[in-house]
Amino acid sequence: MSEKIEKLVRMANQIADFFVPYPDDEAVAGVREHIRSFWTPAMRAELMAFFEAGGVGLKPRVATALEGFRGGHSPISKVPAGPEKVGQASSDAG
Amino acid sequence: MSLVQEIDYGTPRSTAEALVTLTVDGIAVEVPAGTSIMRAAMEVGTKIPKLCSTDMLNSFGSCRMCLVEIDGRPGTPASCTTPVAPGMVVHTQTERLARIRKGVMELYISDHPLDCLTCAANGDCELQDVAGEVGLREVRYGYSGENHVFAKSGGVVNDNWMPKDESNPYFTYDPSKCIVCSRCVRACEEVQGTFALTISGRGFDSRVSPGMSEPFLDSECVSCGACVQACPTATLTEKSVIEIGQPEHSVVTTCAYCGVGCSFKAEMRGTTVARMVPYKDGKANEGHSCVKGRFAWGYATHKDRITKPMIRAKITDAWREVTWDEAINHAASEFKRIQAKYGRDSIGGITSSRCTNEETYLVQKLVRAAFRNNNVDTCARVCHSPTGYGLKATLGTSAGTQDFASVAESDVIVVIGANPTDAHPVFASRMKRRLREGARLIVIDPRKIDLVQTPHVKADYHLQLMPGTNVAIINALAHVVVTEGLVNEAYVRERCDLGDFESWARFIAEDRHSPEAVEKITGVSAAEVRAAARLYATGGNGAIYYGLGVTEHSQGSTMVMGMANLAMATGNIGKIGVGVNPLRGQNNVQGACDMGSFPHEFPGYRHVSDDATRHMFEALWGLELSAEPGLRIPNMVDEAVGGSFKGLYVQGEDIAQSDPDTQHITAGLSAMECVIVQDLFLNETAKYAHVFLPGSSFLEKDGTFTNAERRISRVRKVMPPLSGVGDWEATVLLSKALGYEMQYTHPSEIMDEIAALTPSFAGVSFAKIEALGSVQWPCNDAAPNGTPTMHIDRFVRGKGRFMLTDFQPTEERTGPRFPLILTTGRILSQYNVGAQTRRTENSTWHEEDVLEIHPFDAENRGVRDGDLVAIQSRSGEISLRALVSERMQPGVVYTTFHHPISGANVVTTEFSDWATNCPEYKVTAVQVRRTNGPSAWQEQFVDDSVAMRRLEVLDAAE
Repeated sequence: MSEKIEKLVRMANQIADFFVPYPDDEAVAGVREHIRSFWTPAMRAELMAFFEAGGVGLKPRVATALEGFRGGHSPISKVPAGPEKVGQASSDAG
Repeated sequence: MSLVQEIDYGTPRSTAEALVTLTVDGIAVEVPAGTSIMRAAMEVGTKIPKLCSTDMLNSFGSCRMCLVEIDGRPGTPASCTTPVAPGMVVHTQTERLARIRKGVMELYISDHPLDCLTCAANGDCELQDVAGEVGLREVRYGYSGENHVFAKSGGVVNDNWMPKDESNPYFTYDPSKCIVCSRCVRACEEVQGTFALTISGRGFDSRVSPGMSEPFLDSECVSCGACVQACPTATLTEKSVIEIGQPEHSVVTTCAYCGVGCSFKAEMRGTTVARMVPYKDGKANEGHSCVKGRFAWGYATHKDRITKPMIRAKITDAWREVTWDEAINHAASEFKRIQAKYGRDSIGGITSSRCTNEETYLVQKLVRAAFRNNNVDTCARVCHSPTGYGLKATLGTSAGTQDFASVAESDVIVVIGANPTDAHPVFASRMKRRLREGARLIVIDPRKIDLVQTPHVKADYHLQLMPGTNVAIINALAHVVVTEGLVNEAYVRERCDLGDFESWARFIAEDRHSPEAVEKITGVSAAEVRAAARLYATGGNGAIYYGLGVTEHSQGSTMVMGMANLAMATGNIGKIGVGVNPLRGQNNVQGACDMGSFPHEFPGYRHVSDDATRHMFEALWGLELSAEPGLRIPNMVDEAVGGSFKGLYVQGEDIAQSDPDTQHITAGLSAMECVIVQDLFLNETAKYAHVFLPGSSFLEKDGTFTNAERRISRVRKVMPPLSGVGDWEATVLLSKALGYEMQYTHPSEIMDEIAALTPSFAGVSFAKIEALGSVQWPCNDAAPNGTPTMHIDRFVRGKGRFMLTDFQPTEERTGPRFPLILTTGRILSQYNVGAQTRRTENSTWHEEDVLEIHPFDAENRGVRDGDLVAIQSRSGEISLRALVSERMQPGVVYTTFHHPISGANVVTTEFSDWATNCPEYKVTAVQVRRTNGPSAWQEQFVDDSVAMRRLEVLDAAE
């Protein structure tokens, strides 16, 4: 595993760790939305390629989340602007 | 232009609501009850002569100058200590008063030197003014008697005389000019809260005494300047004024150091700064300052300033000075070449938290519109990005909830992972004032920071946890609140999402979150945690203030949510005196975030994939924008090491020193083909740069800064940019050279564009700030004068949202090889990477970074105070001097990162916050051992610093 992919895997797994206390559906959606909102397309593609090639080391909920990126779906979903409509992982403004 | 004159009302404003009417010299005046007669008189423009009173301090009544006569009352009471009463009839000038004042003044002057013409206070001396006001014409007593003025009297050494104390690098203490009014002593107590000064002796022997009659520098003095400001004579005088003379005009501007954002008058002679004096009308600081803002501005004209653009082909080449045109064209052609060869996403930019909102906005606009990608980030990535993420998720907006003044109404103050007396000193003074009034204090910090025990302040609880266990502690506190029935149910029911609250309450009530269960992990006694939780939940207004000790962890965002949960559960959000408040590091880090410096967000925290927002920017900027998030700083570095990221524009940041795992950062920078650094100095990052654009200091620009309380304040130009081109103009030039023109003639037009595009800034303009002094966003039609307190009545996101905050320990673990935890922080006299403060006399207090280590750990390793020790982690090794200190707990060591040669970040790891990639600076497993020299990295650093900063030597011979 290259150093870079190793880092991406660690980042993805860390996101899943945060969602540990949440039920499966929310956690998987949370991981997917987070990666979609904050990772560049190239980073997502790289992790996807790793996942498609076996994805050893990815936590199960990350794997499930990545399955949502598969196929003909656009990996982009729109995030609404109003804060009241924004999901839990919508912004990391600091 | 002239000096900005501030009226001194003599005594502080009364906050009473009831009004009282009285007559002063025949003029009726209505003032709040509790106002002094002196202040009431000043309200109608009558200045009663005074020496010992000033409106920054409580009245004292010692100088006997401000006497008045009141109809129906005997004697001549002091107007500073006598409160107004209804119907009172006051006379400020009568024959009797004039006679008494003149007599008192004559006594003062009989023991004061008459060297007015050569005195540094000439033109700014209250003693001289009052002598004039009372009409003193002669001193009948002569100067041959006992005095403090002359070194020798009649050829004999005068024991009463004391020489000047010039030990402090910024001000002098000349006891011969002292009138013992105690203003300095009271300023140190009441305003600063340090209690470094006292009056020693009695009667004629009375002396202002720093510490135990020590030189200022050796005393507890923190050099905030409050005493110098309070002094009515030349006894305490800025050395800059002694050297330069009295200023002739002044301009109100905003400090460029920490996130408190103090307002200052830059007092000038021409374009030379004579001194910086805190501005009383500045709402962030209300006339107070710290050693950095007040005194450490000399860097702005330091000889190390680079004022000409430079370029070089390789980072091993010498720099060549070129014209602005050549530098900009070279930079643009390189970026174009790189994008043509490696793709649109191969370049990016870093905005500066030290630059203005307008400049930051332009850099992100440059990246999005001229680079045509979203690869823009800012140093908030490495400090408060988890604050934004965590607060947005729970409360709906990513900023602190209060203004600074709110702390005056707090009953229980919780300080978590912050060291305000060092890093946010002016706010710390406010906090200490409230604590002296009786507010309770809980400190959650691995170190025994000064606030834990400082004069007249003692923390009720110091939860001295192991670094990395914040979430475990906050969960334990919340566990106590929930399981002991301390939840503010009415508040939660009305304000919060109930479904989320219920799942959170079930989660947090689990036994594994109890103080007893986590005692082993955190190292904090369960009883203390329980007591602290009860105090916070039941002690009245509870306010949380936190710093980077919260955010710079693998679980930084989780911890921020945990604090918001706790505050919501106890009803401590949405009014004055409560809240969850980040203490921001850099002057404009809040603003940099607001201005869209993040790769996934436009200004105002709106995601780039949001079509409505993006279309608005596209329409105004006239081109299509990317809807995909760009690279964060650590991602940029990773991609650079990986070979796909090749060009970077860095405005006013120094990632090679400030960011973690230095060797990884410099490997990334070295792999790039064009790095453009825009800065005041050839900083560490500039060693890896190909183009250097000279930056301008805050004294050289117009614009705005936004501080930690969301307060937008003006920065005003007091001298032209040394390089001839302002920072914002350089960005405009670069953008034009890249083919995207920006049309602005003044920074105010940039703010107008920001307001037009950003709902929370809709009402902000330079004119509005001019009228109000400053304004806190959101500022729009709903809140035309801004918003001091957030979330009143409802949360910004609607219902407050409780998040489940499981404690997931960091992957960075101690073990046999690396048994200690290193945590990093800051110190009062130095600021961040030190590029500014190291170029001032502030280094007198801190000339090198040291390793603080507990005596037990030191003993085990045979380390004595002052020994050189090696600190080794999985990332790297450095050598520092050891400071054996009981501020540390066993197992934890600490250092600062103000000096590049220390290389503190050579040791820190690449672990980061799960949500935002904010680096885990606060937890690094290390080993410490004695050593006899610098580490290999440090030796290389010394060589590189010379080699990589060479300037081309022009043919001197010809």
